[in-house]
Amino acid sequence: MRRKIAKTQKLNLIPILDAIFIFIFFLLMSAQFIDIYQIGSDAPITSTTNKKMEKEPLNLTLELKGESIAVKTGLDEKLYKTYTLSQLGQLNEALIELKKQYPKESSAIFKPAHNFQYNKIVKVIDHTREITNPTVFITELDEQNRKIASKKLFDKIIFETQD
Amino acid sequence: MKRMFFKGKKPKKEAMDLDITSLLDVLVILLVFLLKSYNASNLKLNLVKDLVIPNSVARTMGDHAVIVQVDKNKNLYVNNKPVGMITRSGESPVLLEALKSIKENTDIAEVKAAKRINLVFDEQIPYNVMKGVMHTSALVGYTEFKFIVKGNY
Repeated sequence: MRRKIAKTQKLNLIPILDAIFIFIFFLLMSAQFIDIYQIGSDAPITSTTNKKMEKEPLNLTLELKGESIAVKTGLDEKLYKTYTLSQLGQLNEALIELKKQYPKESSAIFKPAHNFQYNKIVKVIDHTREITNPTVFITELDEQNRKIASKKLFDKIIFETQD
Repeated sequence: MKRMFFKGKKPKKEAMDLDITSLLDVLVILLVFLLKSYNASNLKLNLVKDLVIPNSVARTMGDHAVIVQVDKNKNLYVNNKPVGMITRSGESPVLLEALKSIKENTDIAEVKAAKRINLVFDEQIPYNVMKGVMHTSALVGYTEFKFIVKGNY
């Protein structure tokens, strides 16, 4: 008796191929091959208040000149520490300490020299906005006063726009 | 003789089978690559010539707004249109005019009230140029500066 040869069933791939082609065209049209992100900064606004402050504000100021970064604090802009551009890791550690002392503060004022390059400013901003060490976190209180781990330092960047 | 040869059994017509396995492999690789490089941001940026944006660890997506670009030769572009150059002191009356005209020549309330501005500077631009652009933008009412940076660090 002759045995029937079992025919293999073939999948109809045409609809899925159509879908993949359409998907690829959509992705190709919307593709942007460099990842673009933004760093926010608001123009400074001056305001007066009669409220008496419980604690002197941190008023964190970073003066950038040549290769040096002068970290100043307080309303009288007292010099806290000075770093060079090659010591950005140490600057980040110092800012972590300041954030621990002033957990509610989130602003940093940048005062670069007129010839200070933009890419160097961005590097300093990166080390001011968040903790760069991937294993280090600080505790922060969320809206419901619960403790959460955070990497945020001073993420509100303000530039001095007038001399 | 020849006729007799061809008069024999005709070969059965069979549908030609295309092997599309390799094509499918390529498509899947292309799809994965494109999905990986897909950016959900609604900011579409066409960088002008002679402009290299700096690298950053920032991961906040850009949003659609007026785009001001300054290349390394201090040429100014507003929404990809050249408007002039920045003076050595960092002042830019041409930018002031260009930004004012954007707000004045529109009936859309959102554009008139817009505060956000995307600033795309070349990485070698000195701070006095940045300061000039920020100051001019603030004069027109654009007080929320968004510095555009490159994320593939």
